[in-house]
Amino acid sequence: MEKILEVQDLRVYYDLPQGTVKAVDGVSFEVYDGEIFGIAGESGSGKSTLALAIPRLLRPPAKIVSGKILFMGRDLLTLDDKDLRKIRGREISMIFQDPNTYLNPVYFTGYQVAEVYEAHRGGAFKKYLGEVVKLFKTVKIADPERRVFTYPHQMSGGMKQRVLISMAIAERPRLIIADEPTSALDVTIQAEIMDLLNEIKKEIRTSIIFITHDLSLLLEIADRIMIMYAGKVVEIGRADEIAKDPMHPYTKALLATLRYERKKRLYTIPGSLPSLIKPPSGCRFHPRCLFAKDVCREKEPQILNINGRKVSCILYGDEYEPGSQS
Amino acid sequence: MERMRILREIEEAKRKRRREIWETFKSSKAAYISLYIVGFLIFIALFGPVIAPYNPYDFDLSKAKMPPSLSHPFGTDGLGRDILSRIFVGARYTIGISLASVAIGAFIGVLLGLFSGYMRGLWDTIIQRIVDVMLAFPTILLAIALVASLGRGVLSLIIAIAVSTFPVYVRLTRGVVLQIVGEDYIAAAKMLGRSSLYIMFRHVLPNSLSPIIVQSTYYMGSSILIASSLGFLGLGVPSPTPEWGSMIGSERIYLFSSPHIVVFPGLFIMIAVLSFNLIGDGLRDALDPKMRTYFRRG
Repeated sequence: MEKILEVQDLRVYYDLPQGTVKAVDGVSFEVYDGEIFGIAGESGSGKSTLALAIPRLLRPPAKIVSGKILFMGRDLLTLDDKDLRKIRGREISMIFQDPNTYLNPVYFTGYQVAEVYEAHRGGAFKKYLGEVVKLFKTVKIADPERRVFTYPHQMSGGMKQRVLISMAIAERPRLIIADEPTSALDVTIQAEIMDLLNEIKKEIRTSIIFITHDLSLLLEIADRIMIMYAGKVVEIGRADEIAKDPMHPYTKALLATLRYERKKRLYTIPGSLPSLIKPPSGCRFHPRCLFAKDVCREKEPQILNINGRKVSCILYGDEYEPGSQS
Repeated sequence: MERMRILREIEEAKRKRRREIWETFKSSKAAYISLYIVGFLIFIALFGPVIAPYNPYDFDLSKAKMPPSLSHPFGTDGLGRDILSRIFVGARYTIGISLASVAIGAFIGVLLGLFSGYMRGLWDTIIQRIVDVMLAFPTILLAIALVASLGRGVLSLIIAIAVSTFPVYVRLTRGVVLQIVGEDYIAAAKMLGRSSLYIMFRHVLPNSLSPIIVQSTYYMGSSILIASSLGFLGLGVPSPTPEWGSMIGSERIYLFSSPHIVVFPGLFIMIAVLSFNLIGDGLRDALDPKMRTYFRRG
């Protein structure tokens, strides 16, 4: 399959007065044509920073320190503003976390959707209102003719998210980055939005990077999943394989938290996410890891390729024996 | 047709919002009355020479310093000129100067503030340091210096007031812009592939407008005060033009012997400034009740 996006050794740091936060620290992955690529991790694991880094939407103090973001062969990090604008909204689009804040309160929602066309095709946005009505039908907004002329505050959260989705798919992009698109919505609306995303993916044939802290959701919808911990990739693999046979201790622990048994307390991972200013030495997960060895404290694990899966844990390496060097 | 009906409903909704703003504004009696007073002042500024009972420049020393009477409702000044007529004709200078200077000052200030707050970085620092320096001068002192170097006249007065007041708009606009730029819908607009310039004017500016409108109204009052002060100090419009401030300034020796000569123009200045400030209060409450603190009043 064709690679749409390839991220190589991306590092994004926040320069704060207290020190440098290494929010994304050496992340590499690929996204293939037509797949849903899930990214899961706790709050503060660097998922959202990663999402914003791809279209270069990060604002200071965040800084992309090194790495490559190859989108259809072109490195987004070396493009100038003009070329970047041509890609944003047309070839890569984004669905944001909180639909309540991503629409400008002073304009009709339909006008804002029409702006996508105006930005990329030129002419006055009013020319495209007919297209917007069609888009609103695609994302199943009831009474689309009327909703074009509705202000954001007159809509429900679910409906606003539909509007944002319609903006994201307007130009039929090759890649949609969905950053926790359902986290701000209640559960029934979540299900509707997920169904909608699935339908749209089939209809316009696009790849989706789906970012969430809800691993159970990803196991259902994603083709492949990347698990992040404290700014690092811990495991990448097919969703069914990860569900059946998680390799990294962190993934194992995450899956254990999902298992629900009657009259038993839910499993929780002891401890909490480490400071990203002074991360733990060696493997960043070792203070909370049930399988930790002495070597985990000293040596940072490499990403290992095992049967087409990637995992970053010493348990699977040749250097399993403490003290041996590779 | 369906579409026509929807558009009609939207018009209806917009009218409703405008009516809401208007009702809130009206609920403040002081602001409402001030609106009529300002309306009246603008009327005399436009039609002053027509409705003035006498020629404001005709002097007649035999009628000098007459107290208010039926033929001269506000009395006459030291040269026997009718004060009412002079106030009527002078309104266009005082109000025109402040209107023009507010328009120019706000235009420059808002542009710089928008640019400064949106772009940040080096240009922001440069603009803000310049503004710091300008704000460190008392406004009136700066205006005096400018008039002194530009020479007296209506145009140089307008420029002087605009230049000495625009830093406040820069600060105000920048503050609002900084807040708006952090909003998520700006990131969303960037993600659509829009240029910075477009986002600045289409998305940031409309959301920053309310405080700017309120501040401009307050500064109408301020500008009248500055223009009159300069007139009083003899730096305003050259005599015999009846600008209100210079009317007081040139006749101030009569303050104790014939107070009406100075009191009436002073009264008009006070009423004008007060009205603009009260309208500003009303607008502030009607447009956005949350922002109560960050204005400089005239």
